[in-house]
Amino acid sequence: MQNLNINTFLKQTNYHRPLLFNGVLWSLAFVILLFIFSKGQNPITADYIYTVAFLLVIAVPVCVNFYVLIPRFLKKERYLIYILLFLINVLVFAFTNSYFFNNLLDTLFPNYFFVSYLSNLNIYLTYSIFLIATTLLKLAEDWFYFNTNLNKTLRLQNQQIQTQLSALRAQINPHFLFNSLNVIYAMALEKKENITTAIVELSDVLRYVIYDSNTERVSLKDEIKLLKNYISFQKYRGHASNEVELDIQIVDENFKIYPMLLLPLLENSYKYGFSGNETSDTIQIHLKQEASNFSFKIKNKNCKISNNMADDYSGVGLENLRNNLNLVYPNQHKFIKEETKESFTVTIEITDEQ
Amino acid sequence: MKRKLILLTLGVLLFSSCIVKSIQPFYTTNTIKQHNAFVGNWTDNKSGEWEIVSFKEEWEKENQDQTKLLKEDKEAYERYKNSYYIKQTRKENEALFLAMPFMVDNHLFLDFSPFEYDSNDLNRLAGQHLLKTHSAAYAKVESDNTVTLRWLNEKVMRQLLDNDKVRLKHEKTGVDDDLILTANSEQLHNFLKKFMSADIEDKWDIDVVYKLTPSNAKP
Repeated sequence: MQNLNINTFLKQTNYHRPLLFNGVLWSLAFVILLFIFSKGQNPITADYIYTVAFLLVIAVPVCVNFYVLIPRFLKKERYLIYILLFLINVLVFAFTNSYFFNNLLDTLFPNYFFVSYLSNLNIYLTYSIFLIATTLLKLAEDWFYFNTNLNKTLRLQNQQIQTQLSALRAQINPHFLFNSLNVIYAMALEKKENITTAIVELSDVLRYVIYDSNTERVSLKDEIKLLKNYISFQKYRGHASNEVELDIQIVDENFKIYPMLLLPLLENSYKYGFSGNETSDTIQIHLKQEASNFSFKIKNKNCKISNNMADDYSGVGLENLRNNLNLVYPNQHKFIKEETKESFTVTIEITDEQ
Repeated sequence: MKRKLILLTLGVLLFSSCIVKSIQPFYTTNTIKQHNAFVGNWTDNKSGEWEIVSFKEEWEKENQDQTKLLKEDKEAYERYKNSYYIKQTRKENEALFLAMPFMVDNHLFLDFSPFEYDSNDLNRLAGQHLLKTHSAAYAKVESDNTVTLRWLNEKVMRQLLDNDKVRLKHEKTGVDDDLILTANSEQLHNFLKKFMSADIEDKWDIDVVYKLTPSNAKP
């Protein structure tokens, strides 16, 4: 299955809205500064002119900070250099303002008196506060979009996992059905009387596989019942004398696990674990659950070589299972496959805080 | 008593009608400029006599025994040591002012404020309503050693405020809607700076212009 490339998707989708951010930022700054410069009274023409001019001038160090210092130093965790350059940025532009701003205004607007706004000391203070505040706003904006992107990434990843799981299930179910139909077919050929019972039992198994396995989690109780049904069903296929040792040590039978984890292993054991029908070969199953730990161990005779069987089909089933475990229990499981000439053992261990 | 009454009346007339007044001085400590050119006796263009003495010299004459000075007296001395006592006499009426010389760029100004008058003799209650305010006089020393004093025109100031040309803290008070500036000294100084460079018509009050000529000058 082709994986979705989430990073490519996110790169194509730019969630930053610089026009919106700058529009809000400078409108807010205009309102606040106008309130300060008009000293809480009704603004007059001189206040509007001074506020707009001040914003135009202070926009330069703010843009230097936004588009040079923050991306090149702060975001790359070069904090000391960033702080140093930030201070230089404030001091240089505040110094320039204190010396030239009022003269510039007087030249451009000779009929207006800009005499009671910012003293030299207050210019430095205002520049410092303004640049710190805008830096914090910029970081907040970055965090907002980072968070939005992160949520979208998680949603996409979840969607991708669900798609993969559905695809894997779609591979398991026909696999199981194919095996089961072979069994029914064999019984029909032999004209066995209990074929109807076998079909009913198969339908129980299929109902579970089709409906119950589509839920996110099933109880151990249901999963064990499925195994037992399957074992019972297999007796019709000539495994009446083959013994399955089922050792169950379950503390909580309502412990939830991902559905259809165990059946593929049992299927494989039936398929490759018996040297022939009506033999004394056995399948040993150990099922344990305590607290948040669950383990399933299945061991059978290794008859692949003696039966001249190709490894392809069992390989597909086990690989599907391994993929399922990686998706559903990432870093919470162990999948151990041990193969010798005599035996084939698969162990699944799951730790799941529920 | 009569003299003080006249002083008060003159002060009220001089500073209430058409010059710009302020609660705070127009100078800041770092703009004060010690200037001795004004010391002496002068005659103005309205037949008035001006006696200008150095605050520092006068203080030292009156307080030769420094040990008797209070802390507040020493602080007052430090604050006003560069200023002048100005006694203006016109038609036998006298007025006393404290005037501080200060610079606005290259221009010399005097910050005038009425000094020591007794309102009790005029009317105790009315006197208690009066306030010693500051005014700024632009002092220009001419080439013939005369000095011209011009005060800011209140009408111009009102126009600037009413036309939204300046943000400067002020109040309009009383039944006559008297204008008084309440901005701090730094802002007032900034205002004077801009005022001097601004191209404004009738920026000086033409009714209150004094041209001082040295009393001993020969015609």
